[in-house]
Amino acid sequence: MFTTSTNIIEQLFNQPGKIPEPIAEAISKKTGGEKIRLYAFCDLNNKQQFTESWIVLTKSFFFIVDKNGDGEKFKTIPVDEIINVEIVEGFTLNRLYLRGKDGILLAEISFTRRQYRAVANIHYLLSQTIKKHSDEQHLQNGFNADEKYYEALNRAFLNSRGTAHIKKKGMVTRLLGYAKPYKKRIIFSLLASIGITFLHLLPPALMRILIDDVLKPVKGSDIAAANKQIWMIIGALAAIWTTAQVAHYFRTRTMNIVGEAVARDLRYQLYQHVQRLSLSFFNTRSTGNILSRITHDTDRIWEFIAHNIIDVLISILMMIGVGTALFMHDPYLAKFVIIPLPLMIVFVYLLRERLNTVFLRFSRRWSALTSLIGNVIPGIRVVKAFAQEEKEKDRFSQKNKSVFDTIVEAHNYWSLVSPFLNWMMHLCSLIVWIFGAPRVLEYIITDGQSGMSLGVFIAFTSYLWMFLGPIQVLGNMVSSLSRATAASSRMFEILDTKPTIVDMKNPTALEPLQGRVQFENVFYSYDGIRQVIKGISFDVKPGEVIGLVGPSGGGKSTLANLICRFYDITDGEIRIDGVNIRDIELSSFRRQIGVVLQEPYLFHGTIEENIAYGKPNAGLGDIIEAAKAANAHEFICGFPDAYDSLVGERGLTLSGGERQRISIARAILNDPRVLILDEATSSVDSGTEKKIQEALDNLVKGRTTFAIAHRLTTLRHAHRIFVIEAGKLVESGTHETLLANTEGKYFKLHETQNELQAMMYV
Amino acid sequence: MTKNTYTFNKKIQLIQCPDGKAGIRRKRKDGQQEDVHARIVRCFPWQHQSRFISIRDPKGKEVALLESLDQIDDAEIRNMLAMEMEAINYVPQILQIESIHDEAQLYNWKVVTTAGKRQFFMRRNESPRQLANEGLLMKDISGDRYFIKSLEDLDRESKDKLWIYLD
Repeated sequence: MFTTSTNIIEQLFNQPGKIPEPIAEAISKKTGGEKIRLYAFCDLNNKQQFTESWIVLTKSFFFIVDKNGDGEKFKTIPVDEIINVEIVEGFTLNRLYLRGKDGILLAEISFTRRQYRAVANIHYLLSQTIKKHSDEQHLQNGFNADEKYYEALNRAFLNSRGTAHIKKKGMVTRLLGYAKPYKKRIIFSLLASIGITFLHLLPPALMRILIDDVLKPVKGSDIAAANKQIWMIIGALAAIWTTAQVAHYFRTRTMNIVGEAVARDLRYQLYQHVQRLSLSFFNTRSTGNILSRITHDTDRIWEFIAHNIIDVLISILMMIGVGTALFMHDPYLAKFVIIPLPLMIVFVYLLRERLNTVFLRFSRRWSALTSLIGNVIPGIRVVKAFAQEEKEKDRFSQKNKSVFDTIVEAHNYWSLVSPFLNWMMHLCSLIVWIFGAPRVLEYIITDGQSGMSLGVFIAFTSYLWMFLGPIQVLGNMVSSLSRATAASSRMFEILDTKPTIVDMKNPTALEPLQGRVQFENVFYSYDGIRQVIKGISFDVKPGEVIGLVGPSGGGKSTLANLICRFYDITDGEIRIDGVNIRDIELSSFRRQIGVVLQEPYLFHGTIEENIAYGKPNAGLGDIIEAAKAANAHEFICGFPDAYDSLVGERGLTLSGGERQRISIARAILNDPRVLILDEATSSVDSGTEKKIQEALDNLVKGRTTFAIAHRLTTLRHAHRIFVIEAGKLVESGTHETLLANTEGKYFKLHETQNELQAMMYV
Repeated sequence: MTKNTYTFNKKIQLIQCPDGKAGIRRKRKDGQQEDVHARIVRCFPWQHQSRFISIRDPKGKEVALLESLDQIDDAEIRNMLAMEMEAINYVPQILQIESIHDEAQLYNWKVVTTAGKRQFFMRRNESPRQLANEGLLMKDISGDRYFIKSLEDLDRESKDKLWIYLD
């Protein structure tokens, strides 16, 4: 895995993929064999010039390695001389400061943001070492410095693209693989195409026969026979054209349908795969991004398969066919006529490339325009309140004009295509006339001994115009191919992302769950270095209601995510009913967990469908019971459509309290064994508040609950409260016992909460 | 310890620390004097470089706001501040564009800057930002910024390559 990765770093960022061997060896010597814990590449010097330096951290030393001519210059700082480590961020230039006793500056290292993560890792590790934190113990389990360097650099890339490296080579083959199930139909279309091409080549030949063999020799011979031949030729022509068009119909229809089928298969595969991916995938991508891949990109693929491939093949066939026909009729003339053709293909290609860049510019300006509208119209209240209508009109007018300017430019090029191509074709015709006409005269004068017959001359001009279509197709080929590969690469990027949370072999299906949740020295980190959960342990019995409190960013939500197994922990063990969470079958596990989020999400559908989301076969009576328990039945029946009311994007707009209660009803109906409750912080009026509280009480009864609590009432009713701060469980106990400790964190949190509430209600 | 200082008020002084960096000398709650490193933040880094400069303590809390750099008489302190701001606000200036390649989702730029040659990637849907004074600001996927002072100063080839990305 590794050699290709280092190459990627070198390719993408023009910097070494890992620390050079000579430096690593030198460091090993200087430290007496200590392992390199982490390293980073620093690419700016103190004169703000790009440079190549390395900073390396081992157990006891910090090294700065600068380039010195052909070799390296090492600066060594013993770790125990370092009292303070600081990173100061700038726009592009960032600095790492190492300070010793009395604030002396031991080192000042500059680097660009690209290196930030790698340097920040070192900063973190160093600070932990200096403060002699217990995390340090844990971090000594060691990680691969090369891997951490690679990950740090690659992160930005992965966030923008998903896979750093997209193999261009196999892409078309891979794409064509989707067309395999439709092999028969494609072969049929191909054969039909060959047939059609051949048929198209016949009429000019028949024309030649008509002129040379039938019409001309007619003087003084059998008129009746000639007439018969004429009618035969007419019949042949009619048959040829009819057959060609019928074949054309069948072929076009077949390829269109094959294209649609491939697009359908791709859409399904994409959607299905997206459903299986773990949460971390969705955290780095916008909905719009995923949406456009499933819709717009599959559309591009349809175009490629239904049209482009066959069109290109036919065009090549046509060109070969027509070229052959020309040479068969008159090699001398054919040579001259062929000359402009490659030039025309190149012209179309260049024009297309230019058009693509103009269109790119146009589409950027167009989206800037639509963004402006999308930005201002929803905020129209603000525009009016601040009387900025004129300013907004001017802004729009500017962007509107710039859209117009680019599209005009596009039209300037676009309008060139037909006239220029036609002109070139006429030029070819002229060539035929220039070189051909004298030869026709020669033929007539020498009475057929040398020169070119009239029939051949006319056939020639007919064949010539058959080049026009293929030239355009071949000229546009590169562009169509690059559009299709761009679309495919976006799709394959998703298809190649593997879900990270998966079932083990032979997972245990725990049904029904009792609800005992145990955490044993659990550690969790998003990136392998910074711990978000630092050694939390607890034992929650079935049916216990636990209130999670603490400052924001302290790890409460992460804890909830870990219980649902949305992420896998990095150390320690989570046990549900005594079984390691990783050994439990995922879908049966998740079905028995209920989640009530801060911002309840209702799908587009009826209220009934939303409540029954986790239990599609629920009886109507059960749905109503759940709604009653959630104090939602009353207001739902208040709507004219009651439970059949449409909610979600284009449906009823419900208030925050109403959404909360429907979401609680959903959870109640699902009857989970373990409940995660993320309380909304927004305040509602006290009447609604009471209703929500009752609903929550009903929900929480008898279930193991982890409530990220903001309400005092929740906290008072909880069996125990866990105070989570900076990833650790710092206090736990009942509401009363914790309050009794006036020095404790819970007391302080409680105080602030009280003050805020007092302010609100006064 | 330091010879040059600038006094904001009775409580805060701007000083130069022994390592040459800007610092703040202030009285703590318990009456003791302490010296800490200062963070210098421009309030308008792109529009007004020497006006409204926020002086902050290492935790990010503002201790003083300089309305203008010219307020400071002491040339050494003024230089120290100017140098520090220049370093932190440093953005390589693009002198020449060698190529811009479209690579499915990202654009691969190869440029020559005041700091040397550089290769970076920009997201497809992020346009260069037009600055008030004709300049263009670009941000790559790692968050590094680069700027073009004026389109007119670029050579013809660079301008051609840039053309598509301008709004």
